[in-house]
Amino acid sequence: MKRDYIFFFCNGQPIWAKGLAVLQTLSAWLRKERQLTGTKVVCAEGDCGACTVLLGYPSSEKIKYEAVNSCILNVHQLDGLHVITIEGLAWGDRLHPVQQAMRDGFGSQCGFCTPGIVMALAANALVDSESTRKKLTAKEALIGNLCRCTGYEAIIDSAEASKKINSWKLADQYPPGAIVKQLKVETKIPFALQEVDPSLEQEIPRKCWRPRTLKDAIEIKRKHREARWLAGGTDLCVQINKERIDPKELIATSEISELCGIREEGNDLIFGGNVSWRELEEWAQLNWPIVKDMLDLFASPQIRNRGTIAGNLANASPVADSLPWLYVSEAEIGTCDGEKWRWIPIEKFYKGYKLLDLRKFELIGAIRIPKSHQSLSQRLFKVSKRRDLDISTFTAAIQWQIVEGRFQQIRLAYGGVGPTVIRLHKTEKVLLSKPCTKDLIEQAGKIAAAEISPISDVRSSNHYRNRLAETILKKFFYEEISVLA
Amino acid sequence: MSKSISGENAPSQFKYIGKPRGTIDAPEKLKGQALYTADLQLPSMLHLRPVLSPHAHARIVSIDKEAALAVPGVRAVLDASDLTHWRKKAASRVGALLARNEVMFQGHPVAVVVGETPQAAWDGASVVDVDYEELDVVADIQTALKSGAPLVWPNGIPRDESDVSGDHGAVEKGESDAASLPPNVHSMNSYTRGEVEEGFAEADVVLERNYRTGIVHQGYMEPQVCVASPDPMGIMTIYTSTQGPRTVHKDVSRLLDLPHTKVKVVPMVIGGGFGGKHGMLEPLAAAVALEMKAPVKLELTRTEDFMTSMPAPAAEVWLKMGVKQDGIICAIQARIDVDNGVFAAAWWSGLLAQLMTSGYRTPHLKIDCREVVTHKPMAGAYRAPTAQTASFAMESHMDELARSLKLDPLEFRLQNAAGSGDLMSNGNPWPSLGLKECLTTLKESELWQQRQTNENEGWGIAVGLWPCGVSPASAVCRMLPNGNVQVQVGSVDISGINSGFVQIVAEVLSIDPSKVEIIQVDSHAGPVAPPSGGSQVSYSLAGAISGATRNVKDQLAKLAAEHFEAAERDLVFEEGSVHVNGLPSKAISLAELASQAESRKGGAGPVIATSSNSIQENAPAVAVHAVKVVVDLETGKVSPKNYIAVQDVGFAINPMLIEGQVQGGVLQGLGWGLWEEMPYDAQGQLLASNFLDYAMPRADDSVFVDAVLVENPSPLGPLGIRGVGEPPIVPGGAAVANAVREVTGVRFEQLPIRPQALWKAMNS
Ligand SMILES: Cc1cc2nc3c(=O)[nH]c(=O)nc-3n(C[C@H](O)[C@H](O)[C@H](O)COP(=O)(O)OP(=O)(O)OC[C@H]3O[C@@H](n4cnc5c(N)ncnc54)[C@H](O)[C@@H]3O)c2cc1C
Ligand code: FES
Ligand code: FES
Repeated sequence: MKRDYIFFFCNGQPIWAKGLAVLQTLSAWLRKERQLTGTKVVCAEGDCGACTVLLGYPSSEKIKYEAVNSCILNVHQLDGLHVITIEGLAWGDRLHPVQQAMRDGFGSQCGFCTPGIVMALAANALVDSESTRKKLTAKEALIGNLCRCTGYEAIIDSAEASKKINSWKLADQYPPGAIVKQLKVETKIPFALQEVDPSLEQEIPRKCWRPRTLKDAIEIKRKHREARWLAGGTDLCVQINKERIDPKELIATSEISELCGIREEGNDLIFGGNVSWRELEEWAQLNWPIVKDMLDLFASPQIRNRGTIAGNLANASPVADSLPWLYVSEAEIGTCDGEKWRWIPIEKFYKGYKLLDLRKFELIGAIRIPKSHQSLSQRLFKVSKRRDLDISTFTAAIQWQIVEGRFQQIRLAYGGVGPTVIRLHKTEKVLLSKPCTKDLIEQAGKIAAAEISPISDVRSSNHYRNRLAETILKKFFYEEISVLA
Repeated sequence: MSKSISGENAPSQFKYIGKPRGTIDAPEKLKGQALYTADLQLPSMLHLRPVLSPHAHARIVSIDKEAALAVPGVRAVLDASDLTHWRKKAASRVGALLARNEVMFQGHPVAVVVGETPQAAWDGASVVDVDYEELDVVADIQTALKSGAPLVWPNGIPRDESDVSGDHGAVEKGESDAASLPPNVHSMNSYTRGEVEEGFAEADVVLERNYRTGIVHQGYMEPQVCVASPDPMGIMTIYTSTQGPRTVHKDVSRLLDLPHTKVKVVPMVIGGGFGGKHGMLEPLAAAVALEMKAPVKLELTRTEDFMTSMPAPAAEVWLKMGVKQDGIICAIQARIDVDNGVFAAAWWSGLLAQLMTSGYRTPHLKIDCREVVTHKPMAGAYRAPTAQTASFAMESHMDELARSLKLDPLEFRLQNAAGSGDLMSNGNPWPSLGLKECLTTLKESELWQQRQTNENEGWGIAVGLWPCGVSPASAVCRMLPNGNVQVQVGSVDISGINSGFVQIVAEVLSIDPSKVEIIQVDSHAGPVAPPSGGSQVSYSLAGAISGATRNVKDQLAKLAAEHFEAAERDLVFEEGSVHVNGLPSKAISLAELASQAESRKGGAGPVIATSSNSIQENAPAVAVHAVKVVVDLETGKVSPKNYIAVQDVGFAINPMLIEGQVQGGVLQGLGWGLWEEMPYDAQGQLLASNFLDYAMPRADDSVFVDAVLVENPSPLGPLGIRGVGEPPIVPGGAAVANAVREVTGVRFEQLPIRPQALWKAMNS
């Protein structure tokens, strides 16, 4: 049995939507169909945050809200959720503390970035009560938002000032009990937009499914070979908006239960493909802090809230930020065709530029990492024009263990230097079991530079990357090893 | 013009003026209720999608519209020949509605698809099949000036937008009166004083360098957008995001041969302009609306905006200066080439020259300027246009000279700084100029005196100049029976100016600022006002507004005097009412006075006044910036740590708003210095057309600015104010370059200073 409509709440109001309307972006839907024009569209590709809204995920009797970019979110992705826009943030005449502080502190000039900025800061303000999430500084919370007028400082000061303003709880404004209950009732069975639209009595040109089990998902995929997997959509929706690619059939993975969550299995850690960077961040905060540091440099809060591990792996950018870490952690990729799982070492999984060992009816289900890596020392590097929300020119991960002054274990992986991320096996060999001296590192630096064969593009020339390959090793040595020695 | 607002009040006695106060439109903007152009939905409005040229220079062989017309919801596909109202040659970006026969830059609009929905227009545009024959591309200044270079305009550079007479649709022809000019040069200009060779002969140190800045985009958040709506009375109403509604009005009526009275431009809330929104899409939207006889919306995507709008020009400056051992400048010589893109504005290089070489006194001067054309989008204005390049070249030079002479860079500048009455490079004397005052303020400030540096850190300073504009302007003031004061203006608020006006009106009438409404009237009915550019609106308009308000106050005083049977001089205005001195309990509200005046037959009549104002002379502004940077020697990354911005603001109507302008301008200036450039390849292809590749500063790039406002009153401006919007963007790039020089020893002759470039320079 299928449900042919989606159901969600928007600013506290129940919404039923069906047909092709559910395939448009949330920003378009809000602006055109709801006349909620406070949500702005500036770039339509996740770079500027003007379109930021709060997305509420029900969990037991609560709703947990996160900032997301509505320009790269499909309406059907709201199924079972509560979206709050800038129009729904103030409570009647009462301004939200962030709004009050921005008014008094001249945090809004032309105002075009303002709704998105307010929503990003309001999301951060909500973090307070929850323990697993770390509250970001205002600067961190604003990485995904561009403002051309203010120079940000007035906004940052306003964010600070807003903390001192007493306010109501979002749960009072939008009591979660009733919302969660109705969401559950309405979305009991999975949604599918398929075959015919009864009102039009004709085949509709685009289809979309939201299966809840792996088996169902693969079954659909076998019937609809051209269907694309859709996880968070932070890559795919950018391609749809930007390159105007037009996947006629989408299978959304986010409700497939087998792909969710992080767990331990024997000596391994298993990260489900649906795990978002935000979830990983919360987990890493307690369990693998160095990974949390990597995530601090990853995209923006909005993107981290939606983007998933599986999407990142499948997109296979040679400068994807997670990959060097996964390479040195000797991760295995778990792919699944509905029945069988295959576990493939990551080095084998990537066979060339965007060339994956993924079969036609498989999806990426999980990542497996031996727990032993958690206790090793590790450093991750990212070099880009600016620090954040910027495509990397170069990424690197180093994992090591020193026993009695010698490298007992050493693993190096560089990204952005070739069609795939690479492990520097030769360099590792030179270092392994040797006493970690300055000379050895110098030597290893030369070998590392020779081991890579960088590509040249707009962002960075070969020479620069070659030298970085060497410099990064030295930097690592001086900042980590020499301190130890 | 009087200097103080009501004659008798000294600034310290002001209740509202001079005090920090939030902007009047903030609540609407913060709640998402402000209505921007793209938010408008008119009944039966059609949606336009432009088809942009992928080539920088090509002949249009054919345009196949069939597939697009077959898309459901597509109503029309129009090319240049379909725009029956547009019969002018194209000689500017705003006048280049659609390409005729040839595309002249990547992003040149070739056709427009008209759809019933945005999606239909998109789908249609993606299948319009244009067949091009590629032609030679002249992509940059160097190529354009090479001997034997292909000509951007073989038949002469178009100079004015006259009718495309009989040869409708033919390649546009320019006048060839410019036969004496080098190839691809639209115009040349030079300025001389004394004999530079003599000056150089006297110099102890002579320094020559070549500086270059690239194309930088204004980066306004709101992409260009407008709605054009023809009404049954034959009036073309244009709702648009513009800094210059009156400019747009003139352009639309001129380009489409519409009578002036048949056009009306409604300025909407504007999501940032910074010089980039003085008219571009409106004539095209209006032309299509005329063909379709329906309202149309034309809204660019971010990438289209990067490709087809009018960013700041690239410029090359060769600069030579001679200085005596004691630090006195004896000669300045320069050659300036500005890359105008496909059409030339004919005054960028002259402006650059003036801003670059007028700040310091010199007996000998020679500057040669050329406006170059290339196959790129026409260059436009970006906040203090050309001043960034001027400051970068001159201030880098000053820094280097101070080093060779072993002089303190600040003292060296002070020693040579021009003041009021000194000659600018064009030979005219400077009006009141606060350069020395600003330099001295920095020198004496605690912030500067107690500056510190750690390892890999260094300070750099630089001066930025901006002439600030002035134009005749007028305003209307009415006292309404509901107790509000309404002020009507023809200007557009892009930086909080309306909020400053509110403070002035509240002050004059002694009423609460919440009772003041500022109405931005459309271009047809509104009072005359300058466009919001050149930092001139407050300076030009504040006098008219206070004049009209004073007049209203006089009328109210007369009414109150009659009412109380008292002398006008005994009246006290307070909190929106008037009483006789000593009798506050017997006050009458201004609302009551206005109401009586409006309703009583044979009475005084409605309380309304207009005032015109025309200041003779502009009031230049000065910004002196000091920045401390830290350089990561391993990656070449430069991060600003501390920032001091000294600025002559004349008089601060609202210090909070000015500090906001300074803070925002500084980060844009750092954008010039460290991150931003639109790179084009030799084929004229833009290599950075989104926010990922075009790196605008983000929150973690920002730096807290210590703004020091110098109040050196302008002699003629109302309250002594000066323009404040543009100067803060000017010296940042130069100051950063000087700081990088201090830390690394590397003198950059190009902006921006990206990590990779700095790293290379440090390692070579
Ligand atoms: C502004 C912005 C900044 C970004 N910054 C970074 C950054 O700093 N570092 C970085 O590494 N990335 C960055 N990204 C890229 C992107 O966010 C990540 O790659 C993210 O992890 C993608 O996950 P997703 O769930 O959104 O993928 P989606 O967009 O849903 O999918 C991506 C691709 O994976 C396929 N796919 C999805 N799920 C599966 C599955 N289970 N099995 C097989 N194929 C599947 C899809 O069909 C699609 O081709 C950024 C993106 C944006 C828009
Ligand atoms: S519009 Fe820029 S992130 Fe959505
Ligand atoms: S206030 Fe204009 S972009 Fe932020």
